[in-house]
Amino acid sequence: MGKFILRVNMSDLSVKKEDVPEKYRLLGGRVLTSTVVADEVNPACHPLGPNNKIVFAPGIVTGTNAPSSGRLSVGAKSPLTGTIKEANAGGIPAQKLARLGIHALIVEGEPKEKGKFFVLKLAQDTAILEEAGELAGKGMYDSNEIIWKKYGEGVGVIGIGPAGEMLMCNAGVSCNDPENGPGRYAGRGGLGAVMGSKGLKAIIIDQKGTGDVVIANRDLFKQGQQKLAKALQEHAVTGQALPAYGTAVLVNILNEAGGLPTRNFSSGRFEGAGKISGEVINEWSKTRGGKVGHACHPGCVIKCSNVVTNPDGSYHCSPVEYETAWSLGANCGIDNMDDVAEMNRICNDVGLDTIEAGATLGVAMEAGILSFGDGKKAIELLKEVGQGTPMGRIIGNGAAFTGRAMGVTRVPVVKGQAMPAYDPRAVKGIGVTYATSTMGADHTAGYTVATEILSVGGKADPLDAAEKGALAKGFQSATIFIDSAGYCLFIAFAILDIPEGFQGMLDTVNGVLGTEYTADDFNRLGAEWLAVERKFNEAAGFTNKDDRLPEFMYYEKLPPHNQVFDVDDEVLDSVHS
Amino acid sequence: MINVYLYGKFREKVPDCSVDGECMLEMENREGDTIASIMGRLSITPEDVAHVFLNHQYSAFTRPVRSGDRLAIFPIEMSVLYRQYFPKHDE
Repeated sequence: MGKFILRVNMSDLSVKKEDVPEKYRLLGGRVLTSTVVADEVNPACHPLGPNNKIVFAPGIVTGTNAPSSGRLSVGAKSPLTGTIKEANAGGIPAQKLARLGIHALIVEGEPKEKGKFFVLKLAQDTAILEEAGELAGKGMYDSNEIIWKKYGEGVGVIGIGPAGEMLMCNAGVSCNDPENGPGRYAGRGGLGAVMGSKGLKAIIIDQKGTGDVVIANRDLFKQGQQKLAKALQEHAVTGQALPAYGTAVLVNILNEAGGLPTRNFSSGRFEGAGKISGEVINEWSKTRGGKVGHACHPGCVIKCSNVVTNPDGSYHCSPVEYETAWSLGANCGIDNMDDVAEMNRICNDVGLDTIEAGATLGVAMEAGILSFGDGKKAIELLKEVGQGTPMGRIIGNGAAFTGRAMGVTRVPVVKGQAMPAYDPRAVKGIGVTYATSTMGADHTAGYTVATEILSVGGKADPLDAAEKGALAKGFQSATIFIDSAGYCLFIAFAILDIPEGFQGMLDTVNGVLGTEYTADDFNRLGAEWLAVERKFNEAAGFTNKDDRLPEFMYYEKLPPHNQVFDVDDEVLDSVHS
Repeated sequence: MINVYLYGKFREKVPDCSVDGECMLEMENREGDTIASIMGRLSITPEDVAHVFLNHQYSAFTRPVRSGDRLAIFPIEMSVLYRQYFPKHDE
């Protein structure tokens, strides 16, 4: 099936099918959403006004049988950061969008009647907007259940919860998993609020009757698919650790590294880490009937997802990931995994990014609104977000907003977005990523290396600042390429360590597109694509001065290493120079 | 004494160890001990190990250990770390 752009205008409720411009033909995923946003959105616009657009794009190889490639990119100008934003998610919708031939879905305008919500129903040769009816105001669990009953079991759902409907800056975009759970989120940056501002409650995707995604060179693609699958299965991270423990295996590891942010980034060690770890999730899968090695979409060979159950063995939440176990656990001083899973479930239902939600609760705890460690009160506060109470609206707008509302100076954000689960004073390499990412503080933006990491082996660092910056940029470039190809970022472990795996990844991309990209192109294209995002941010008013960590991290020492963030500004500035 | 914290399948080396707590062995410190020699006394081979942290520092096996040190050992099936983030200490 040929590819096309689908343009939905919420001002006049029109849906148009457009040819794919030559400029966009070889793009997909993150680079496609970011390029469309850069081309069509005024960087100075209000993110929740009529001039912002929200763009959905499957990756370049998404919809094929390339392993672990079912990612959906969602892009817009972010209401949380004011920068360009791409967040991506697994789940089942992306592969279905690709098989319908949708290269990108662009939603623009705003409904004439405020507070009115619609659903967009996509199937082969049809795209219909209809009123959301009983779905409006519903949480994502109820929404997904209603949608499968009404539109058919197995349809893909991209949706927003009440937080998105109420235009809160921490609202994410939910994608359903194979069991129709709503827990696969393009969570970061408030994209759910942008979708809400368009009056779009859900996109429903039925792929019945569709054919395969077009592959220009099937032989090359197949070779690449096999090489990559082999590398993913052989590598210890993607073949063993992630399937067995999920990403939460990192709780104990980062705690031993002294880099697990605890009680609003006041320590790198949490005494209750063991109780919220991947090892507990693994154990519960045997004793409570939960599951590890859960695939978030068909064709994932890594299977890092899990299903966490209640003490009685009933379904509670899927997945509980590292970032979430940390944000709603250690960062809030909470060591009760059932409470963490309940908060995770509420975030999934209300439609919140869990990283931002946990960081926000940590700020509220620092303000004295509730005590560190008070899981029950934290659960009540998250419920208030869904109810839209005044306090709930403050919490639902994220850590920076909550910090301002409550007079807190220790707020762990960059460009308004909360930091994930690595304290940059203990893990300085990721501090460079947090500071210089085009997205605000984001652990997925690139495997940036820090000054001291270059001294592996205990030798003096031989590189100057400019070279360090170039290296850091290289990692961010690699990430944007993987995001654009539609692969799960976890393939990076295998493709960085196993040359055949890297070649396999390139072969699948070349096979689909009919291109002859090499490793040099991988780096060159990544850098060019990053520049598109950077240019948008500059036009939106951002400068190097915004590429900094919060002030307290430069003067407050983090135990147990008792380090501050001491990477020079010139190193940070060199990343994008 | 050296406090050795064990994770994953290595927890089995500590009697009555709970999966949600810390499994710690107190081991005698001998002259010239390194992380590798401590691992050897626990019948842990380098191939079995993903990450080692000595006093919260990502460490090479050759690193000397001293009385009062905290040593954490993770098995290969817990190998989920962007190693590029961490300086590896070997002295």
